[in-house]
Amino acid sequence: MSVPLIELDGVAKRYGKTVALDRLSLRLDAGRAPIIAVAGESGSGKTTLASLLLGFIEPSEGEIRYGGAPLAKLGRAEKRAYRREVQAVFQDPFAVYNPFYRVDHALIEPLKLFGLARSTKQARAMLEEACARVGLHPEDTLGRFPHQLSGGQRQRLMVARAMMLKPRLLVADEPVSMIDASLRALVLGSLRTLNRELGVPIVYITHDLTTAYHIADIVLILYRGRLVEAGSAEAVIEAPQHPYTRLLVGSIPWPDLAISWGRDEPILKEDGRTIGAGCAFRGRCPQAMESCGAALPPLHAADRGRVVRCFLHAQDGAAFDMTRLSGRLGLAADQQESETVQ
Amino acid sequence: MTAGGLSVRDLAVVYRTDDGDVHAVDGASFDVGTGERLGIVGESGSGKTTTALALIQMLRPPGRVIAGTARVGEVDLLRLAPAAMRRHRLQTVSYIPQGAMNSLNPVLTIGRQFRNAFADHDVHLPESAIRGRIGAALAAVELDSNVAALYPHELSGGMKQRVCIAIGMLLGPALIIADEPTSALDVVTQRQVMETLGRQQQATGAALILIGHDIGLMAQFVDRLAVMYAGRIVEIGTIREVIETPRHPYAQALVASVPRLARRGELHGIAGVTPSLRRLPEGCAFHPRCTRAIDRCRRERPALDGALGDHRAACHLLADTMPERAA
Repeated sequence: MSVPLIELDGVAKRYGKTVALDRLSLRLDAGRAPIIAVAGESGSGKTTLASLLLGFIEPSEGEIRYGGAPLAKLGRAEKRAYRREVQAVFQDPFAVYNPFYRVDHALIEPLKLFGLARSTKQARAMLEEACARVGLHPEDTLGRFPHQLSGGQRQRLMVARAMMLKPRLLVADEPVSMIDASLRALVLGSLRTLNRELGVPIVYITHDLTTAYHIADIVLILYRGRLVEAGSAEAVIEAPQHPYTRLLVGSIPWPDLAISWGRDEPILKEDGRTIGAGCAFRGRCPQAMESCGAALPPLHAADRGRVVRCFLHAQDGAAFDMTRLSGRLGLAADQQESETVQ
Repeated sequence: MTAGGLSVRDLAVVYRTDDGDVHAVDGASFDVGTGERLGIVGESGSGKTTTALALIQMLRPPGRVIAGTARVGEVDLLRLAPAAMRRHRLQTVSYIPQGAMNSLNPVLTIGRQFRNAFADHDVHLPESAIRGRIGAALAAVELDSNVAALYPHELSGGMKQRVCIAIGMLLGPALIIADEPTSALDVVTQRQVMETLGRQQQATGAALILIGHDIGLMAQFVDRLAVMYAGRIVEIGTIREVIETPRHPYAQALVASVPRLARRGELHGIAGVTPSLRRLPEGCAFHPRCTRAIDRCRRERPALDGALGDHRAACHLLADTMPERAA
């Protein structure tokens, strides 16, 4: 069995009594390059997950391993490699640039820092190549100040920057939520280029399921810190099973007059039954049952390529082993493991 | 209370700067009938928010309305003196801004903020009646009456946004202007807030303008849609006309850039940059990004035509070609 690129083993993050992320296990094997969308409302834990993957915060429980070694115990050189190999694109395309420097500065600094370019000329060539890859004309973008570029151009430059560092994983936290709808497609297109052409897996954090549907291979749905449904983008978005996912998908405003908003999924007022053990969604769930309050439903393998944390979908009765999630979703190269789940 | 909706004619807003005049809104005309919902979409800098701010006289200097009228019944919103405008806000026109939840005063209870609205408009009622109206206003946006005793920080973003809608609707305005009211909210909360706003608007028959850049949200909410580009309305029609058969090349590209359920994995962006309003290109402002620009587009600015009745677009190509269906 190959060593996973990155592995979350029962990772939880708590702030006092607040559970930001509850025991999530996920494995991404080397040699796989899916785009994994992580979706959910504010407070679902999606940005906590991004911060954990980027090493900005440490888990309260469980362990994150990078290349088989615990993240918390990486040595100086390994940590440096991790910093280069796991790159990020953030939400705010304004805040990441220093307004006093030309945009080139933000792209050249990391090349110097990590010793990736031997000369200014080589750095320049790398810059131009990366720009072209994300669909920007170097002559229109390089040498400009941040305020002279659109949010979409600035965000694509960030993708270009990440690309030059030859990352092994990209974490994109709401990369298009602050830019105009007409420019989003271009930024998402550049992320897909990075993924397809350079084989870089992407964790795409978003609250926008329409974009997740269009670029992601796999979608994870979080609700109040817990994974409630995960599977292929087609399965989760075209036929959602968890009542929360159904509500979420039913609330997407599709630009289509034939698909009316919230046709089948009423928004229930929270009735206060969410304290204590059990499913956190039961207070808003139209199908909540007695058992939903008694204990947390385990993840069930609902069908091939999908897991759901809901008693309604526990027909086979076989609780799903969280550590096998990756195999089930095709994230892991080790396919044998996923077969044993059947 | 509501009288005939809103009628805007030739609205022009200029920002006077040292580098010259910036025409942020350049001759916008549109109507919104009683009980009707008009959407205005466009990129940042297209003039959509400036249009809204002009209608409630909240433009900041150096921004100034230099021409046009905006009538709600007998009142021209652009001609009101500041004191009169202050009375007409909430009563005639309510503005629900982007991130409205941040406009609540953090040190006052929600109830106090409702009371201030009454006091500012000389609505003097007995205590029991005031309480009743606050309770009813909160109930109309599906909040418990005990929310009145809470401070803004005790509410979620969606709840705060619904409080802002309740305050906006409190005095039964004839016109509601909602400027990206849900841009910071997740889809479920967004739907809940928009459903609340829509129900309230239907109940009072107010005219409503929704400003935004999300075509999906527009499709689900408005009756008619105007597309703005570089300070001008380049297309206006019913929501069905504009999203199913857009006529202006910019509107066509905008509609095509939206992800759809039926076309997974297809991403169409609009190449190029929105022009700076300081240095607008000659002719049609969209011509440098337009794939079908002809010579005339570089010289002459197209006007909104009336060839298809109420579905109007400003493009020279439409003079001699049939409207193309968006694929």
